[in-house]
Amino acid sequence: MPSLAPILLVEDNPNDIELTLAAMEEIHIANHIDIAHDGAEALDYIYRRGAHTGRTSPSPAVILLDLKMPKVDGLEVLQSIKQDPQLKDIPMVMLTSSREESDLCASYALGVNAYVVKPVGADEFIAAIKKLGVFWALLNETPANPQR
Amino acid sequence: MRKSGLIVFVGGLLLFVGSVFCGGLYWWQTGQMEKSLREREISRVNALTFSTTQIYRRVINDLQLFADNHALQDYLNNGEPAALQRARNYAQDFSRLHPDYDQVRYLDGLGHEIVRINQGGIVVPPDQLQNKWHRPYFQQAKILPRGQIYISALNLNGENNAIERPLKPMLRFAMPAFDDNDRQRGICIINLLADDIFTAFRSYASFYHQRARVLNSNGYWLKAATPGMEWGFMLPDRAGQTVARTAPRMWRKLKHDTTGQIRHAGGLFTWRRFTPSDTGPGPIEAEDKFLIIASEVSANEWNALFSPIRNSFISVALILGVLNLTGLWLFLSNRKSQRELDRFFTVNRDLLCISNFAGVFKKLNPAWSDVLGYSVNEMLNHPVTDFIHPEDLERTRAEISRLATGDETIAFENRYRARDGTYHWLQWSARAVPEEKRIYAAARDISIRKRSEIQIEQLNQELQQHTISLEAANQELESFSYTVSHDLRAPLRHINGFVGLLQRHLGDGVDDKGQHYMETISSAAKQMGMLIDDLLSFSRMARAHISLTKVDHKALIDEVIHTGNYDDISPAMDWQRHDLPETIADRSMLRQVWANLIDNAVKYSRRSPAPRIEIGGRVDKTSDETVFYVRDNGVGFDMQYVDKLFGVFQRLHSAAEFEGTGIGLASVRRIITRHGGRTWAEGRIGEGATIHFTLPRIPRNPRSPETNLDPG
Repeated sequence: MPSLAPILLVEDNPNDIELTLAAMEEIHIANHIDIAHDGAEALDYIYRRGAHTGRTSPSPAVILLDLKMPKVDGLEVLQSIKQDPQLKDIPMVMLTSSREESDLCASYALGVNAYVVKPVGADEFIAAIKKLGVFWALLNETPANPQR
Repeated sequence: MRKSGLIVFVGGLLLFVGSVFCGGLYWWQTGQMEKSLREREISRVNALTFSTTQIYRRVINDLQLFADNHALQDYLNNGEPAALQRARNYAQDFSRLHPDYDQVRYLDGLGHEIVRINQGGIVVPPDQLQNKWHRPYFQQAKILPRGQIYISALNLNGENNAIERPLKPMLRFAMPAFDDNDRQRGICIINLLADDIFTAFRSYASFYHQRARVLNSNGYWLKAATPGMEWGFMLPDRAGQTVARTAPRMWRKLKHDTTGQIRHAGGLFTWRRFTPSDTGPGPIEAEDKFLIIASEVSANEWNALFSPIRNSFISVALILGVLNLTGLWLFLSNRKSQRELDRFFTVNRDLLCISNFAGVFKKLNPAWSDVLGYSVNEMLNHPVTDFIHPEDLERTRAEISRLATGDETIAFENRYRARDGTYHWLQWSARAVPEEKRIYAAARDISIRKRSEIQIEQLNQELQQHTISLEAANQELESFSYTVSHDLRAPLRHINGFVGLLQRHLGDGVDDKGQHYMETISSAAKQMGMLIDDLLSFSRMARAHISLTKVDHKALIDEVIHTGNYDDISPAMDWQRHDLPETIADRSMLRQVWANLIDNAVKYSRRSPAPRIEIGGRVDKTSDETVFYVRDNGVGFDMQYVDKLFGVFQRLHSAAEFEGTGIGLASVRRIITRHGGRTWAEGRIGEGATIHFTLPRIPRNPRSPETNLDPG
């Protein structure tokens, strides 16, 4: 049986990382959650290069992506992946504070699968993360992704 | 242009002189004609008189011959019948010789006709001979001495006491006959048909014999213009026909002067007195003291004589007059148009000039002095280049060359230096007249316009700068909002999130106070989140582009109520919805308005036992707007603080009483104001509040600077 696809969380803020991980724990997700601290690292991870050369895990089941990050921001990562024929099938979910219309439009134009605004309230945040995890990791089907 | 005026003037002068000359000519001509006529009339009268004299003389001569002829003398001396017969023959021959002798007679001393030959040599037989003793001519002649002759008055012949008809004017010449013993033995008479006198006029006056007139010494016509005027002294029905009566003044003259010529009755009357008694060699006893022999030019004839020349003169005069007037009129109008042109040139505010092809000023109007300050003399005969701005010299020269080839200049601009050294922008239109080698040009001082243009250019640039900086500011505001939206929310989320984790982590081991503290932190963070959201949306909405469409408010409110989940909040809400007119507005913004207002109404009336919300609207024709309202029967507010109601983040209730940030009504006011409407509110504590707003029928132009700064 192939190993379970991981969930890639691309987030630069450690607090947000901690909150998200805590929420994921509550739903006892089996998938491993990998972290990339910025867009560059996310791309390295996806392409198995740089610090992530030699990664053997399959392509992520879902990439949870923040918008505003140093170096390479969320939209650039989105664009890179969605424009790569090999990788475009990977579900990508924008997970961000911004409700700006322009960000929404830009993301959807690039082919984002979902766009979720991080709720400010704690309960809501945890609930949202849970829902995301359950849906994308467990419920959602994607075409079989070959080992890259 | 002066030349034609001179020509007209000279022409007019010539015409005038010509007219005067013609007039003089006419006057002289007429004078000459009259003079000639008068002279001719005088000579005619003289001729008529001569003719008459000749006739009288002839008859007198014949009478003498008759009286002295041998045959008669023989008879008178010896009374022989043969002598008588010879005398008779003689008389007959005589008569035959002179058809105008009506009778040739010899009467004896007692008046018996002895010899009588009627006209044409007809011997009257003795049994028809009459006695003429009582006749005046017999009586008169009888007493004459030897050699004297009696001439009767020229009158009409009468027979048997009646005037013989047809009228027979007669003159009787009588002479006593003496024998060798000097004894008077009767008289000889010749009856002359006086018509012969008048007939003789024809030979002497030819065509003009009709003018001949004869009057006797009493003023009666013997020959008049019309036969009906003649013989007034013999015919009773013509008794009044005497010049003495009809023309007394003329008669006075006629009586007084032996000869004369007067204008009478529109004609000319020329006369000469004929004295029969002067016709003889010897003494004559004449009944007629004198006769007036005249020639009368009737008024018609007079006019007929002079009218042709008068008519031709009048025609000529008229023609000349018309030509004169035309010439005068042309001259005057030429002068007038000349004056007008001069004045036009002088008065014109534009700078008019004439230059030659070398660009030297040949003529300038006074406007040049007014605008540039030089006297006209300072500029005349100077090249235009003396005054033109150095930068414009090349262009101007090129333009002058172009003009010289026949092209027009329509709006050429260059700078001229005024006397005070400043430069004026002039705009030119010009045309060349190649035959004269002259350029006719008009310029306008457009310095003011030029300055305005430059100013406008500057202002435009400033405006562009402003627009650019405004857009830049707008961009900054955008990115600011973006930053706020993103970066401020993250820490809030963290606060909330970790408090939540903390709560979970601590679980039941938290005492009430601890729990309370954590909840306070959480709610404070939530509040901040709401404030940030509200502020962001308020700011965004203030900048957002208004797109106007027809808005169905009823449908909007349906949406708002549907999505608002008000049934959960206030299940017993009584919605009173009246019909709402459609208006032109921005749909999404109005949705916000209704959402805010209904939210408020629901929120503030949820404590009421029977909450009711009334929504309505009507068109106000006088102010050309639609007025809407939302009325609730909730807690209301104190009208004392109504001014604060629409303020940003202003609240009239504490957060403990009612949640909210206080931005709802501020947003409503902002949106409605941007549409050009008004907002106001009324309320009563404990009874409820009504919020009103208006939308104008024609909303404010969305492109006006106030509503839109970004191109949308």
